[in-house]
Amino acid sequence: MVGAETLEPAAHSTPTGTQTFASLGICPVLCEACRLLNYHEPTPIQREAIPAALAGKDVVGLAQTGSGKTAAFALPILQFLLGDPRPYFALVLSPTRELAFQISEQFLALGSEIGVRVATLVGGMDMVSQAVALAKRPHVLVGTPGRIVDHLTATKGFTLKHVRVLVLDEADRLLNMDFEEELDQILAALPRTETDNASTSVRRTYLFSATMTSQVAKLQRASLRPKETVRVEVSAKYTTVETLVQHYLFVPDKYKDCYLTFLIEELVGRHSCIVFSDTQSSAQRLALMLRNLGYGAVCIHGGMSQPNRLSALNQFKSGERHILVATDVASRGLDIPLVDYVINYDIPPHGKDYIHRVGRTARAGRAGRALNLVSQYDVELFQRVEKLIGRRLEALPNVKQEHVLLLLDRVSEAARLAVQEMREEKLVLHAAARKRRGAASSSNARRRKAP
Amino acid sequence: MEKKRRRVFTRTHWPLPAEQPSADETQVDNGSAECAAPGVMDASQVRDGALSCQTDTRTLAKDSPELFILETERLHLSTPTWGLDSEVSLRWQKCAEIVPDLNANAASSARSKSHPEAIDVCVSHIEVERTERRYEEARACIHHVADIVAPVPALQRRLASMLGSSAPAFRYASADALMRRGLLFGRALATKADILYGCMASVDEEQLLLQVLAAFICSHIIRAQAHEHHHDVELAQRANASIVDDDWDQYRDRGLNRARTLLLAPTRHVAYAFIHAMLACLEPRQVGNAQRFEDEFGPSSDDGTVSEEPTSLIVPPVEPSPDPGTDTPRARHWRSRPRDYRATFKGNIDDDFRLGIRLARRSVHFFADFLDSDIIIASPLGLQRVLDDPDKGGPDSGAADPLSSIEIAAILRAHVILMQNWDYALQLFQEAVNRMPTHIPKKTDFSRVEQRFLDGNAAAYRQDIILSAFDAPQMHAWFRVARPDGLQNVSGTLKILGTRYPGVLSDLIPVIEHTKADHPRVRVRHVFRRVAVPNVGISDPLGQSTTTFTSAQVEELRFQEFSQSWLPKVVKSTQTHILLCIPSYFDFVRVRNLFRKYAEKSVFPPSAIRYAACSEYTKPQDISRHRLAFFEGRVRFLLITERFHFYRRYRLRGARSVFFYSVPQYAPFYTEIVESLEASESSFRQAYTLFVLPNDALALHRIIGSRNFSYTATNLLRREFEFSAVEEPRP
Repeated sequence: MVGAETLEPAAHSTPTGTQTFASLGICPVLCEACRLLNYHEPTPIQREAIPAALAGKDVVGLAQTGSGKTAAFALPILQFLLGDPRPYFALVLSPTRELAFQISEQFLALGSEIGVRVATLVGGMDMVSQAVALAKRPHVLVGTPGRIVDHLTATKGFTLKHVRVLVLDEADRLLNMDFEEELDQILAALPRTETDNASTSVRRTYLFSATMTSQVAKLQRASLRPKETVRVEVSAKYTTVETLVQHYLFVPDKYKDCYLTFLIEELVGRHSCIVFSDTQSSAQRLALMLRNLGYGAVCIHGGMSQPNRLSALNQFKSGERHILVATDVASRGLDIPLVDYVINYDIPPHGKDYIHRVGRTARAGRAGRALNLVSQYDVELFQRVEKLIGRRLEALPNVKQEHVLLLLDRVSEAARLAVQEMREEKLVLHAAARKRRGAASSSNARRRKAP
Repeated sequence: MEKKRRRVFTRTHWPLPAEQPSADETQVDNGSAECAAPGVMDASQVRDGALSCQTDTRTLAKDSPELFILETERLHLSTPTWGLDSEVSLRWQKCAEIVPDLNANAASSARSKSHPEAIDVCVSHIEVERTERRYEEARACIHHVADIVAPVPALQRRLASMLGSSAPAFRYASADALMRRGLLFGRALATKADILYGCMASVDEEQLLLQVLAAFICSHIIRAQAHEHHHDVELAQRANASIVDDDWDQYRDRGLNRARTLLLAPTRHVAYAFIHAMLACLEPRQVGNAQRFEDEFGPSSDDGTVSEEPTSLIVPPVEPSPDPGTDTPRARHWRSRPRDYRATFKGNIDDDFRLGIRLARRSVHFFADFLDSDIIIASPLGLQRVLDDPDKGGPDSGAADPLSSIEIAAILRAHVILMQNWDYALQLFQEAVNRMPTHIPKKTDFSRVEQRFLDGNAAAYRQDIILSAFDAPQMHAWFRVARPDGLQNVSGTLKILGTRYPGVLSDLIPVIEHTKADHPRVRVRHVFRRVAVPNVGISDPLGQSTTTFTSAQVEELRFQEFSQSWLPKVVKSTQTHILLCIPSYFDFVRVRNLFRKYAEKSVFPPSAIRYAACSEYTKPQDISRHRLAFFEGRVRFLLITERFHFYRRYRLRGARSVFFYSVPQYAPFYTEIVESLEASESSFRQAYTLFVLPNDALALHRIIGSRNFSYTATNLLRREFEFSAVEEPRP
């Protein structure tokens, strides 16, 4: 990930004492590429993982959010490619489309000097142009499991037989039940590691995440070679970073919207902020509500079309809108350099998701704040989170309910309008669908009548 | 010369043809080197010659025992080249080869009149240098038409024998002259450049060109299939060959979809003629759906329209002896139609069809699915209707997918498509042909798709071929605008055009019924008025400067001239029975609206502005009502379009004067419409035509002939030109 991008200038002015990329075994061309990207010195995970990967081992990398994991696997892959530039060399899987785009951008940024070709295979985008990209012999394939399986079945001439490196980014998410079927198909299409062990062309596997599943069975599905695997952990399990300040706020469920608005008004101000909610419709509703209240809010969730998702993300990244309301689709891997606040409107049901969510801020050594709205129904979930991260959070001080409730009229009006807008939009969509169906059936009838 | 040959063969993998430096090349080389050959003149002299049309090149060409005369510096007018947004300019182009006219002798003998000018054919020069070089290469190794399919020996054999045996069947032109044109066309095809063949004179010639084109297309497909098969075998032998290999690119041999060829034809009959030419070449053992093809595309058995073969596409033809066998009323009616009408409307004239053809080693399958076809042949309308089909979900439905990998596109009888809907055809090419497909083609191995299709540059490697009886500005513009993203053919453009025309003014059949006996000759005044366009002219014969007027602005000037100068004058005069021919339908609507406005607002007295309008969309009963009203003088103006005349060919009786809003594309139409003038004792007959120089140059050239045209085009001070065709009193 962006790694050292935002490290203090002081950190790289004294490189003598610390390790450099060159000392990790990275060749000069790639070191130059790192320098151009302002990566001045390797992060801990990179220091551990890169030598192991260059030595030909399988790597399981576990590091905190925002600690430069992408570069930790991208650099070794690019270095292998430099020695033996072969197409279809690496396959990188990611659970979300946005993360896939981000990874391929990272590959292109690091590899532009050496002319690396990357194909991004994600859902929601045009299949044909992806097939064309595949036919142009890319070196690295980055994608989401579903679309890669689509291409395996639909695109004649596409094969994964020649893949030498498999990377699972956010591995624990990819290895859980959601992606089981797709991942099985992809693993079946990859060259098998056992039989190829003797030959020179061994398939290597890298698993990276901030949280890692411990079940050995799951790891074996990724066909790691047990003897060759190096486990790299640069932090204690499941921790959030030190620079992150976390608070909770105990609120009545009834006034959640009101408290959210209050926090945004009082604390966030013009800073950038991600609000996480549990469902798509609630994310949509919150974004509309905040927009009605006059805040620049966009929303991103899995129910939107891919171009819309990308444009929302870009609006947020470019600072055009400073509030992003998201579901867990944006909780992992996304690297947006300047997120100051993360607000959990709903407490995530899985503790790990909490770590990924708050990992959107306080990246690469910067400060950040996380605020949790805990309602009477969320207490148990919240306690689970506290247990997982191993610390108790403090309540946000200086929030008085009578101050908050001053906003109530405005907020509930905005919320009502938001619900109404969503209902209308749904009606329009339904009407359009009905119209399409009607047109198709009537023209069918016309055609039948024709001699 | 040896070097040249080698280059050709490495490129095209052709076997070496019979190897001997042919006489014509020696001739040419000598000529250009020493300027001593009879056919080559000094540059300045030639330029003057072309302008004043004191042409002796034709006689020289005839005297010369060889086929071609290379004229290095000969310049000729008449090809306006249109820019991307139809910006007009008139440019002079060099001509490379002159083929003597093939109809000149026959036509002149039939008319018992000798035209001083012949219809020459020239290969007009090409901006891309590579095209020129390739043409020279093709000329060096193609000595017979059949040589262009030499890589497929069976095809070559059949084509050669077919052309040899059918030679006696050419009735109205010498087989020799025809063969020269075929050879010219064949060499042009071999260059892979875009081709505009704008001088098909007769059905015979079209038949020959179709034969050559069909053989060329078949050989292209057969070779490509053999190539794929060869690679398949090779890959099967190489055990672990795959896309990651460094030498994989040599196995890229196919497009995104199977179809490599697209043909547009105006009617089913033309498609039928092409496919028969193709079948004759291929001699397949199996033909799938043959009966259905005959039923749907062939002529119906009781159709009187095919009882006799017309031979002329557009040029006023030689009248054949009447066929006594078919003296039914229907056949008589059919024979009374003009010959080009019979050529166009012969056979099955349905203009809404599409057909996919699959070729295999020795079999042909009709009505194949488009995704499974090698050749797609369709009418512009028929294809457009598939693409717009709402049931399939419109433009993103993948209906255009089969057209993604077209390598050769041909437009047959473009002059008829011009009368149907040229814009459909153009739009089709701009929006659907060589576009990325919207769905992943199921049968295509993506790892073997050629690089140019992956890069989206397929359109630049497509060869567009336009076969037409004459050249129109739209056809010249085609090669610049028919490809998406401003791409152009990397091999350039080659245009084979008529350069000199006798004109049609003297083709008028003298109608003298109502004149007095002591006035044995009837005079028609042909007045042509140039609409002045500032800065447009021939002031710069070498084409260094171009004007900045778009064709829309020029049309605006024409309308000004018409509505402010001509119309008020005529309305105030005593003329009646004025036939107003407005070739373009858009202009027609504009002028009709002007008339309507004048009538509503009573700008002129109602009787002075009374009009009737007949376009191709007018109902038959309305047409007959309008014709009668015009004949009886109840309406003063009758407005018609060129297409109305194209489809109906009525003789509009009663006209006393004819006015052309712009110059009709079909030169014979000018004569046919002028022939509807009735002689009256009081006034002589007059045909008045407005023209704008760059826009109407081609059409005007064909009507008034080269001699008059060079005078008109160079005389920038005069705006009105009068030419008269006087019938000499018969002995």
